Amino acid sequence: MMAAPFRFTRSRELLTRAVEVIPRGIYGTKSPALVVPGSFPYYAESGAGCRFRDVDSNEYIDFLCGFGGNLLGYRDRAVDDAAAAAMRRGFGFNTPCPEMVELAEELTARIAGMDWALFGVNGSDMTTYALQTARAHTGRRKVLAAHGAYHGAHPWAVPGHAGLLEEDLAHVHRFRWNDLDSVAGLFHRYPDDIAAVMVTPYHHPAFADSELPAAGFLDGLCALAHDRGALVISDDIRVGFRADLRGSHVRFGYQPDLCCYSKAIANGYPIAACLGRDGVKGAASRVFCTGTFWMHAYPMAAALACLRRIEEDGVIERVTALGERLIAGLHAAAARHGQRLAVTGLPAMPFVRFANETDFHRSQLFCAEATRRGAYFHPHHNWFLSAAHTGADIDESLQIADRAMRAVAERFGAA
Amino acid sequence: MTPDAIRARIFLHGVLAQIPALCAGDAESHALVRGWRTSIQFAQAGGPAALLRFRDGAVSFEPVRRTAPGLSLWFPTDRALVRSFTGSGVPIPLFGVWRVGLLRALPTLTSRLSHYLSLSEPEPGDRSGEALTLALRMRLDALVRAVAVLASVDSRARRTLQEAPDGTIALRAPGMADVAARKRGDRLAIEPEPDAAPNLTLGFASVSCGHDLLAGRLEPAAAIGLGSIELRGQTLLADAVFQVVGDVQMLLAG
Repeated sequence: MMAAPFRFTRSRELLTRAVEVIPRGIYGTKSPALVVPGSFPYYAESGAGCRFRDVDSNEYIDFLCGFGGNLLGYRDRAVDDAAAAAMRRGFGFNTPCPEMVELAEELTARIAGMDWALFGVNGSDMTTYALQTARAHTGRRKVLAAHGAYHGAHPWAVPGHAGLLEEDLAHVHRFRWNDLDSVAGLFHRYPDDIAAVMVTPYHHPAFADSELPAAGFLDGLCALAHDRGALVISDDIRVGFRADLRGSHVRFGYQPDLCCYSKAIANGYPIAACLGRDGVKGAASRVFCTGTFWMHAYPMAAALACLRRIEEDGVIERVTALGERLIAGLHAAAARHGQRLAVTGLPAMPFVRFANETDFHRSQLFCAEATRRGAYFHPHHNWFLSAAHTGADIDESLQIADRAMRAVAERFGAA
Repeated sequence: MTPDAIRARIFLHGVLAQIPALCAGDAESHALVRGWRTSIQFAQAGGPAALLRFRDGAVSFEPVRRTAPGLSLWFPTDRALVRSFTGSGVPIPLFGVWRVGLLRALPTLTSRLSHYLSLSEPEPGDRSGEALTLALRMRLDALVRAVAVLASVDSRARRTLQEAPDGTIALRAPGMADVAARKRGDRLAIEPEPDAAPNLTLGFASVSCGHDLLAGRLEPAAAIGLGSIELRGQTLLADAVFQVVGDVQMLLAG
């Protein structure tokens, strides 16, 4: 018998307190307004493996994985031990620790075509730094990015317009994903002023289907950019280490000049990295960049351990296989209840919606019903698999999904 | 466009557009206009205009300039128009000045309008909450129209709407007829009839919640999280509209 739906009393109490002292209560991508209030937890208490527990003691099989940061599972022993050992030595020193050199060596050895590395805390730190480096290298102002692509929360990239100036966006121009002509059109329009094209390995906007690169698109984009003297920045922050340990550009066949990583690089520890090829190292050196917490050793130690685990345990193959199993099961559950799903993106990070709608009514009901029964599915964002998921976890989640799918069929009828 | 020019358009095309609902829902206003068979034009010199038509108690609104209205009220500048609406100025009757009765009655009508658009707490005699419900519907309708005005003249608002998905919107509260709107491209417009299956529904848990939001006592995302507003459907569209609503509120407060 299926367990009763969860209650969220403590989550709600905390949010009630939070709105008095924190703008929006919870801000950014973790805002309750972006899920289905009443069916999702707002505050977590603990986690282990692929599961986490909220402040009301509800337990979830997690398919958002901390928005991708959790690749190996919460409290992965190898990663946590490495981080704890570094932390026990103290942190926040006046200088970096040896781990910074070791991690730069490790990353440049692993990531194809990259010769140097620099570290920050969040992905936004690195996309902005990469853009500054491209500007310093080319002496140009503009950056091209795909419509709908998310490259961080700094003023030049953040969605929305509150608190922004027209000038913040004056040199950011958008092209259509998989439309090389629209990229070429921008190069034609700004012939000597484009410093960089920033791309994700494939298009993974929130609230919309993921799109893999069409044959020749990223390759053509790189050729075009390089021919016109611009750099290509690979924003591999979300996909990174779920597609290819050598960098997602290897998997998708393009040659960036700069690569940005964060999220899964250290299994959720706060670190981000920008890597580059030798030719742009001079410019990178001229860009001043720093942060009080950017050189802590413990997230670097975590990253070193995480990278080893990814390779030694075949993590990428594992999360891919788990994702395929989940997707196949979801399609089957949908079919049993007369529904049709559209699943896009890599299996390890699928974007799931109902094929006959784009406004998410069915997705919201489905994800709400599943989440309040213990399978945490996000209605608007791509999901993530972790290496800590097991076949049994997937099967249990699919049982919950079946119940949620039935609720969709009862409310909306067959597709 | 200057802030006053935008405010003038919001008052003409957002606020004045509530007169038909006012005359239909408020007994005092209805009694006042019941015998009127005329039209009143509000126009700013070289700028926007709007026309109200009155016929046997029914009132219609047109956001356009017409020739030969029954009464034409003229405002020499945007500032003069804004001041007239905020209570610190008076319009100049250009045509129809002989309609003295109409001119005398207008302040009563605008006073009722102002009363409803600022009403956010239950009135002593309003046990059923009808007045508060009417006020919420008028305020929401005016706000949607104000967003539409801002998006038509402000590049940031226009871009924000442009980047959001198209779709129909329903603003809902218990006992209140839906305020229906449609966003298409960079434009937002009130729809005369609600969509049976709107792409976005924002449902207020109560009429009071709606007023709390409009009065700034509730922040939208927090209100959604706490269940004071139920959001279903196209969340990105809601986010875009809320952003422009914030700009409207800032503009009107400025």
